[in-house]
Amino acid sequence: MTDIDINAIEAITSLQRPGKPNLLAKIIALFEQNSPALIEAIEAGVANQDLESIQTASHTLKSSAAYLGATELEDKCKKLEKFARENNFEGCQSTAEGLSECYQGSIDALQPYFDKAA
Amino acid sequence: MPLAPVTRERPIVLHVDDDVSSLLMAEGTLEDAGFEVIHAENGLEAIEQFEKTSPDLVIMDAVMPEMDGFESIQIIRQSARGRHIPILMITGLDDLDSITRAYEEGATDFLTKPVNFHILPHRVRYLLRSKSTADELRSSQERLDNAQRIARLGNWELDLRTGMFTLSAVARRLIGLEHLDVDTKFEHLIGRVNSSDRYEVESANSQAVESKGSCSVEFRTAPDVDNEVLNLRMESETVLDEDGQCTHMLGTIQDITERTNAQKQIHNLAYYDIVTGLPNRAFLNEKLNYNLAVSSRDRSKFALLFLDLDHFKQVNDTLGHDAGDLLLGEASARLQDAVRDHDSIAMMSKESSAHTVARLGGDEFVVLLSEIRREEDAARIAKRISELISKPYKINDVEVSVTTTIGISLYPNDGDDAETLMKHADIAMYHAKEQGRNGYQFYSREIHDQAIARFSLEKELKTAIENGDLHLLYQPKIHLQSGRLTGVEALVRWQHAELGLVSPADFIPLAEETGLIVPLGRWVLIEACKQMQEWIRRGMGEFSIAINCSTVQFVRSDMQELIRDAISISGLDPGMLELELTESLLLKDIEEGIEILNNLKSMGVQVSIDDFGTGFSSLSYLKRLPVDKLKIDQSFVKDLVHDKGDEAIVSAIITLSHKLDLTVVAEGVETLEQADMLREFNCNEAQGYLVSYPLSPAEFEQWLANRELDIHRKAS
Repeated sequence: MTDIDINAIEAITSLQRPGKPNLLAKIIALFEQNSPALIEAIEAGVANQDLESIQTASHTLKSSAAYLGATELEDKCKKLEKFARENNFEGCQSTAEGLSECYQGSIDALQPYFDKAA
Repeated sequence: MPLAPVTRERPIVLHVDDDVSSLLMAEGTLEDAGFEVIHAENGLEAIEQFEKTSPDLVIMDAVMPEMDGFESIQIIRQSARGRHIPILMITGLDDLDSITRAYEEGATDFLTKPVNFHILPHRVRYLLRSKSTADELRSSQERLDNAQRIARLGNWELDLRTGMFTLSAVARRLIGLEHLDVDTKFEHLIGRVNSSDRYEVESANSQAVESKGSCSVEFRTAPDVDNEVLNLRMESETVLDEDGQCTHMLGTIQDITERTNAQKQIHNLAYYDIVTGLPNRAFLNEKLNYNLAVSSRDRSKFALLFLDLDHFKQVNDTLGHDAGDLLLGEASARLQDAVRDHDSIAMMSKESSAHTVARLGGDEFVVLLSEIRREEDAARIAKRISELISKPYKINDVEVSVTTTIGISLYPNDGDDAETLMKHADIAMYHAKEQGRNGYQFYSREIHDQAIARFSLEKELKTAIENGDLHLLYQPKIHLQSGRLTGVEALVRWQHAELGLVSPADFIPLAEETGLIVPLGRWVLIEACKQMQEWIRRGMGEFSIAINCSTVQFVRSDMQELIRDAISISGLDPGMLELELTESLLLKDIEEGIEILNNLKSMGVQVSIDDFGTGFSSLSYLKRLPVDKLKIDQSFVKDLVHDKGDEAIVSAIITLSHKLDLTVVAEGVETLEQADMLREFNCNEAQGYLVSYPLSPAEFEQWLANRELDIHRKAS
C-alpha cells in the first residue's frame, strides 16, 4: 500500500471553511474523476511516442498528486515530465511502467480519508 | 493579520489553473480574505474572463492545455486594462526556465507549486497594494507633469560625478531641447541660453557649486528656427553627500516671458507717454535727479529746455483731439530729431545720446541736454527745435502750422535741484512768450545776452571762414646785425562787416572752444604757404614763413597730415616753413612733445618756441626739445631798457639759447634802444613795430623793396 503524506492531507483540511461542503472529499473525488484520463493520455503518449502529451498530462497529474500527498505518484509524474521535456523517450517508457498500479495504490490509500471526510 | 484596504470593496481575482483542485483549495482562503474569485481552466478561458470581468489581479498557472499561461499573459498585457494589472504566475518549484520566462512575458511575481494557500491571499493583497502604490506614483507623476505644464515650470537634475543630466518634459520643451535625440548634457542647456546671458548663467551655476549653495538666474533662450525666444528663470541648488561633497544639482526652469513682458509693459506705462511714446514726467524726474548727481560729481553743466506748442489749443479745438494727438506725435518726432542730429561739438563729446525728450502732458515738453559744454550749445539746439517745430505739418490732409517757445535753465547757474531748474525753465519760457512767441530765452538775462552774442559771433566766424572774410597779414623779422629780412610771421585778421576789425585775442579762443580752430588753422596754413611760394616764385629772396599753432589745433587735428597737405597744395619747400608752438603745448606731456617735434622735424619743418618765458619754462626740458628757435616774449622786451630784472632775464635767455645752439628772436621790439641792447646781448633776430607793423602782401612787397634799396644805399 502506498503511503500518503499526512501533512498534505492536513494542509487541505486546514483550508476547510465551516458550513461548506467538505473540501478534502471534493478534492479526492475530483482526483478520482480526472486522473484516469490523464493516465490514459500518458500511456497513449508512450504508445505513440507523443512526448508532448506525456509532458502535459504528467504535469497536471503531478500537481494533483502533490496536493493530496501521493508522493510516489508525484515522483513518477515529475520524472515523466522531466524525461518528456528532455526528449528522453526511453526514460518515459520505463517510468510509465506500473503507473496505473501506482495510481490505484494512491486511490486505495486515500479511500480511508475520503470515507472519514464524507 | 489585518489586511490593507484596496480600491474595490471586493477586488476580483481571476485564478487560472487546469488543475481544478488548486482552484478549489485557493477559493476559500481568497474569498475569506475578501476577494471575489473567478476561475478559468486554461489561457484562452483566462482571456475571455479577463475581458468579461475586468479583474484586479490574475493568478496564472504556467503550464496548461489549449493555451499556456505565458501566451495568455502576453495577450492580457497588450490590452489597455491589462498593462498595469498585477499577474502572479504559478510555476513548478524546480522550473527556473518558467520563472525567467514568466517575468519576460510580463508577470509581476511568481509562486512555486505546491502553493501554500494560506499564504496566497497575503501575496495577492501585497501585489494589489504595490499596484495601488504604483498607480499612485503614476498619477502623481501625471499630476506633476500636468502641474509643470500648466505652470510652465520644469525641473532638472545633474549628477556632478557622472555628468548625467535629466530634464522633465516641460523643462525640455522650455529650453528647446524637445527634439534632441542623444543623451542630454548640461552643456546642451547652456548652449540654448542666449549668448549675451550665457556667461551669467554659467558663472552663477559654478559659483553655486563652489560655495555649495544655490543660485537663481534669469535669462533668455537663444533664438532659433523652431523655438521662440523665452525669458526663463532658473533656480538651482546643490546636494551634498555625507562628506559634504557636492554630488548633484537640482534645478527648476520657469517660463517668465509673460511676467517679463508684463513688467516691461508696466514699466512702459509708468515711464512713457502713450500718445507720443516719449518718456513721461516720472521718467524725466528720475533722469533729472540722475543728471544732478552726475553733474555735481563731475562739475559739469547741463541744460533744461521747457517748451510748449504755441496755439496748440486752436488746433485741438478746430481739428479735434485725434488730430491734436497726431500733431503731438509728429512734433515729438521732430523734437527727438532736433536733439539727436545736432552740432558737431556735442558729437565730439560723445554724449549726444544722453539727451532726453519728455512730454509732461498737454503740449508741454522738456528737453534735458546732458553735459553741454557751453550755454551756446543749449541755444543752438533750442534754435534747431524752433526751426523744426515750425515747419508745416500735414494732419489728416490739412496743413497745420505751430511754433514753439522755449525756456532754458542751466545747471548749476540757475539752480541745483530738479524743482528749481524746472521752475526757472518754465519762467524763462514765459519771458520768451512775452518777447513774442517762436523763440527761446535763458532764465538768466546775463547768460542769455552772453550766449546770444557769442552764439552769433561764432556763427559769423564760421561764415567768415567759409566766405573767406579772413585775411592774413605778414610781420617781418630781421637779422639784428645785418638788418636783413630773415622771415615773416603770418597773422590772421578778421574784418567784420559791422564790428570792424575783430581782435584775434577775441576770436581765436572762441574758435578753439567751438572747434572752428580746425578749419581756421587749415585755411591759415595753406594760405600762408601759397603766399610764400608765390614770393619765392617771384624771386623775392631767401626768408622763411612762420605760422602759429594752437594747442587745440594739435589735439583736434592731425598736424602732420595738414602740413603735408599744405606743402603739396602750395609746392613750398618745407624748409621754408616754420611752426611756432607755445611751450605749454610741448610741456603738457614732455615725451609726447618730443615726439611731435621729431615728427615735424623729420618733414624738414623748422620749429620755434613762441612766447618763451611766460609759461612754466623748464630749462631742463628745453635741452631735450628738438627745436630751432626761441622767441622771447614781448613782455620782457618792453621794459628791457629800464628794468634790470627784464634785462637779466633777456640776457640769460639769449646766453642759454646760444649754449643750446638755438637761434633767438626778440618779439615786440619797438625802439632803437631796445634793438641796440639786444644786439649787444647777441640776440639773433628781432620782430616788432621798429621793424614793421604786420603788412598785407602788397604792403610787404613794397616794404621789402624799400628796405633792400635802403640797405643797398647804406652799404654803398
